Amino acid sequence: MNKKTKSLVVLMCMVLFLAACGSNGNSNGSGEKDPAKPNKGITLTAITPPGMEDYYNARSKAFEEKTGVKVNIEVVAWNDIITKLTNDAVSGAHTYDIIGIDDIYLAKFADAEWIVPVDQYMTEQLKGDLMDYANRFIQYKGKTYGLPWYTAWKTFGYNKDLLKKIGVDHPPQTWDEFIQDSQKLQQEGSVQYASAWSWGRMEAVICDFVAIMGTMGAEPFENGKPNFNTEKGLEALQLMYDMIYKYKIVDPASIQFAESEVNSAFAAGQTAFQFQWGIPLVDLNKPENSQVANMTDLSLFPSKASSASTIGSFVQAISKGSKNPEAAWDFIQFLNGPEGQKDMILKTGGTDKFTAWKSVSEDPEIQKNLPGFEIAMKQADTALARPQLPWYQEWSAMMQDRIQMVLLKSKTPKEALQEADQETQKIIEKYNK
Amino acid sequence: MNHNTKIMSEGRFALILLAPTLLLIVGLLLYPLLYSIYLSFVDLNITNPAIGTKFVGFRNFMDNLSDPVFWNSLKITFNFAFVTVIGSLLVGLFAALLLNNKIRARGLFRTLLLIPWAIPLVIVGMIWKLILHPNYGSLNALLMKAGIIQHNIVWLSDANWSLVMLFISEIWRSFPFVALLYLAALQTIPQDLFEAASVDGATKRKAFWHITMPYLQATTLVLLILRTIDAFRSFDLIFAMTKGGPANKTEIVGLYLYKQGFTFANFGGSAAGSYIVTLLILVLVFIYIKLMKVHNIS
Repeated sequence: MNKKTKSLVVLMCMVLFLAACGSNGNSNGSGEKDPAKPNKGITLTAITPPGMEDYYNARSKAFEEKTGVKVNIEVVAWNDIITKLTNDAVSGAHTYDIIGIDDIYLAKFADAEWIVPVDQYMTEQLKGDLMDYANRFIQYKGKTYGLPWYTAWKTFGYNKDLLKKIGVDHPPQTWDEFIQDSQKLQQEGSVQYASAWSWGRMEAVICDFVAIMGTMGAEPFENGKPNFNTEKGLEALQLMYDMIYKYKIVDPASIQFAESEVNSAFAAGQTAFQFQWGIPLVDLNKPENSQVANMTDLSLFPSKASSASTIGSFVQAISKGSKNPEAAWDFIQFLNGPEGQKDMILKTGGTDKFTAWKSVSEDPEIQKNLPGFEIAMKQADTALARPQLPWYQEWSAMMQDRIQMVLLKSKTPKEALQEADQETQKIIEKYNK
Repeated sequence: MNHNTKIMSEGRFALILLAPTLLLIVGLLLYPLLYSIYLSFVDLNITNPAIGTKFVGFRNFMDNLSDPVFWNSLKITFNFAFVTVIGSLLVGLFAALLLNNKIRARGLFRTLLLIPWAIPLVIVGMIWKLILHPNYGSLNALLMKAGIIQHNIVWLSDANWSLVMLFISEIWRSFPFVALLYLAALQTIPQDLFEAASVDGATKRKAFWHITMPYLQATTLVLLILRTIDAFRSFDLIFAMTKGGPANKTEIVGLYLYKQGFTFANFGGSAAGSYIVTLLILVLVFIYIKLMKVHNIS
């Protein structure tokens, strides 16, 4: 080895040594522990859907000031989160400490052991304050896996002014009234289509099917067993079909719409009714966002048997690969605990998310800021959760296609539900093999 | 003093220089390739970690082959490949012939031609989704103004229109590549052949069929291979435009396999399905190469 090569090797060793001595993100720099901030210097990584990143960043900054723990946030599109987390878990990369998942995926993540139970952190106070419906979203097989962040159920909005113009002074309470009002609105030329729905090839169509079947007096799954290939399921699917083709009161473009497109049409005054997540009145009453400011209100979802809705939650859990589960839990509680959720609703307006805590929902400060609060809470009592099954995703994708085949007229509701029932049995057999 | 003394042979020196790249290629290509072969023969039992990974032989392949949804997605893929490959070749050839003429601002048009090809596929999908929006899209507005339609058409929610719109958008984004290759081939044809044909009284159409087309045969076969492979690998554009919907009417095999692997966490089935598709592409490529040999094209 000549002199030059030796010098090069020594230089490289020095660089590597210095790099190894650099901060690994877990040291506090001074080497001394701050008793008030035992986890100071730790860096956590979290994943979140878009729309709330500004609030999330502000809250994580407040958390850093309080605890010294930094939280890096990765914003990923709603529909891509599950894919990203699946890849991360399967590859063993364990990039995230805190993961956020829709409650319908909790069973899969818990069965695969990609998230860890948090029962040891759940105090009696937290347990006592949590609403009953919220408990369902974070528990699986008797264990608790996180705290609910985005909690929302669908509410029925209507345009008071448009109804007044056709001489109707109350929102429709039954499906018959809904059909009559819609037809009248269209005949009078107030709107081209009275409503648009989120019946695109996505989870949204299942959410609406669950609620509509609920208004017939049944759920697609009862006690974890399929119950959709029944008279009530058929009535629900037939109504969806009839609203497009028989009564012609639903925009046919609904077959490709997501919730945002439904809300856009309603906010533009192009439709008179919408079934939407949370309390959309907050944004609808802002003239800069909407052409129907102060013209809309909430009412219970029309029904045949009794009103119903669909409820869902975005659960924040600790990844199995997290090296700092306690710090991760501290952040989850800081963001999603009663204090955190009150802060979130006050600062973000609670438009499409609501609280999981009794103390927050009873807080007068929260109630006065949310128009339609009372109706929304009444609708919450009727809201149905989708089942927690490890094969839910596969079932949902299959069911979305069957519902769409009906809406495309390529199958009758009866054929579609029979086929869906057979496919469900195959999925169950596959998972139970 | 001898300045020509070599510390090591040129071959070894080249190998050292290439080593980082080779390592990268092995890491990024060979490892995933081998791992996906491994995956296609196992069941990871993701939702049942107590069982763990199990060797299942050819079960993943058989599961795909016995799944009507897989066959349906293959059928859609074949239709998609057939229409878009032929379509892009025809439109590309037409564009190349046009731009091979001495027209005004030819350079500008040649540059503009590349735009659809240069835009990332997801963006192309989003652009087309906006154009085809049933209520705000420019296509409906245009047709309405021209008096061709009276009601908005829901292009991407209709079982037939959605597929047609995918064909059009794929042809739109892929024809510039075809045009570019044809344009290069057109410029290699000796001009004196056309002059001689003209002297002999050949019409432009005859010159096209008897001079231009034979010269373009090799390029056409290369394009057939590349575009067929491209069509079978299609994913981004369709994912951005329809996500396989409405129902499963536009679910090509790439989307189906993506859903199996990354949505349902059935990585074994997804990997096995990918190898079945790879085999099909290889068969097609083999047929094309045979054709090239039959026609003695190199």
